[in-house]
Amino acid sequence: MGYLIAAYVVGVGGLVGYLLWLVRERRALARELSDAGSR
Amino acid sequence: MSPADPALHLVATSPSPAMRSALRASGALAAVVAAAWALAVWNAPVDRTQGVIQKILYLHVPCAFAAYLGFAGTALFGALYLWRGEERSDRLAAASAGVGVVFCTLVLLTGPIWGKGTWGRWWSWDLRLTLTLLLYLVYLAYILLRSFTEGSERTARFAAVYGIAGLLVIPLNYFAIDLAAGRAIHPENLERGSLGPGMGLPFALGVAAALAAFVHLWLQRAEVARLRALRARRDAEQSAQEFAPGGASWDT
Amino acid sequence: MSVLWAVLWKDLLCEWRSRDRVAAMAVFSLLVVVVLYLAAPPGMEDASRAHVPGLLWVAAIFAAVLGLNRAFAQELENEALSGLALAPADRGWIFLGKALASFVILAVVVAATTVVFGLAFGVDFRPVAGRFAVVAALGCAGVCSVGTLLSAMAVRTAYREVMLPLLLLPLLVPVLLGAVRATSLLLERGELPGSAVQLLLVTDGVFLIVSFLGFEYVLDE
Repeated sequence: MGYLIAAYVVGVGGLVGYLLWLVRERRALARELSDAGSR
Repeated sequence: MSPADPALHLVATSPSPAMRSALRASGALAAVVAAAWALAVWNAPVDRTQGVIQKILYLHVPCAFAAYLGFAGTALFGALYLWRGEERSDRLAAASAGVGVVFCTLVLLTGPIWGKGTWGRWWSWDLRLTLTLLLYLVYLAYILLRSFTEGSERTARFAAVYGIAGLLVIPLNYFAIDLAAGRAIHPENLERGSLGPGMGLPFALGVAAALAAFVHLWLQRAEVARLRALRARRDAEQSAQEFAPGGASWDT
Repeated sequence: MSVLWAVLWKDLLCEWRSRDRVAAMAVFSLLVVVVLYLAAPPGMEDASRAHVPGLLWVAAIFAAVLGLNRAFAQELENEALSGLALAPADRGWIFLGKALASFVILAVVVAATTVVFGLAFGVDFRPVAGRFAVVAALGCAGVCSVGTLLSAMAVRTAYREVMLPLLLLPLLVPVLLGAVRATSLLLERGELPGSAVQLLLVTDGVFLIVSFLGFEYVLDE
């Protein structure tokens, strides 16, 4: 049973984590680019 | 001194309207299908032979599906880039690889967890697991190639060729591993057999959820690629300016 | 087509004059044989000899990587890569010339390595020499075809010498498995094993086509 939970935590957690990372990366890049534009 | 109207930069940093709707739609779809899948997994009957741990397969197999799809996408968009030369194709190829490798990692993590729980062994060199490991190595090589090649146009070309070669190697690997080891004791037969009544739905929903998740993540990753390309272009413009006669001084 | 012979002749002639590539590969192969022997000495029983074909092909691949890393080195050092890229010829033929040159050099090294290997590990290749030559040729062809394509890529990346094996090895699995299986079955039964040879033929075919066509996009100034 522990294995089952571990697998789902890894799997779903991994995907959600990746999604969050992508969203954060987008925001950071967008901010960086608009900062440069207004210089 | 600044290269363009700052407002233009602001526009470029947000996704196009088409992309924005695609992101919203795919995100909503993925969420809904994932919820349905979770429900189906929860309600699925417990396997007689393996016990509740068999339910890992409702995650593991869809991830494998997405991992292979990802690489097909990498090769496909790479080929499209070689054909048409559109930068966007290359970004989609890179995004495919980026998302695909994540799914592949999950396959290689959930597989051994399931293996340890069922067979008591973390790893076995059976056909499917080995094939996926080899795919993983090709993914990694592809990503390293992209990181270490200089020049975005050259990177796109090289990556496209390597991606196509990597895809073609998958069926070759299948036969090669089969040749070398024969059909080892892969629970392949057991897997098929264990698709008993009530198990079709969570599997099908799992694959659908993986597909939907892949698309949404892929679009997000493509946006990241687009923004990175913008940043690279801006950096190139700025450093060109600094060296132009009468350009910015060093302490700007 | 004449471009093929021109490139092939030029590469082999340069190699013949300096012999540096073949010498480096041969010495390296010898070192690998010695190291493998020390690391995994074959026992008296047949069972422990089962790994010998695998070790032989690992040595061959290492030597091939060494040689392929040098495939475009001359052009790079003399800044002749643009010359090659701008040549008014179908790049596919340039690729074939380069690949064939690497193939010839590798074949020579593999032949020598096999002899030394046979002596060190107590495996007699003589009764199957001709048939092994077929297997070796198929294996080397697979390595040199995709290897030449990737070498042209690697020469344009950072970490040049490390990139080639990194890119090559994941793709070489079917060649390696096919060649090893063919070699061990050949030694065991004295006959060429159909399925392994088939795999090698198909793999070589795929690699040759992909590399021939792909070279167009990989050779740039």
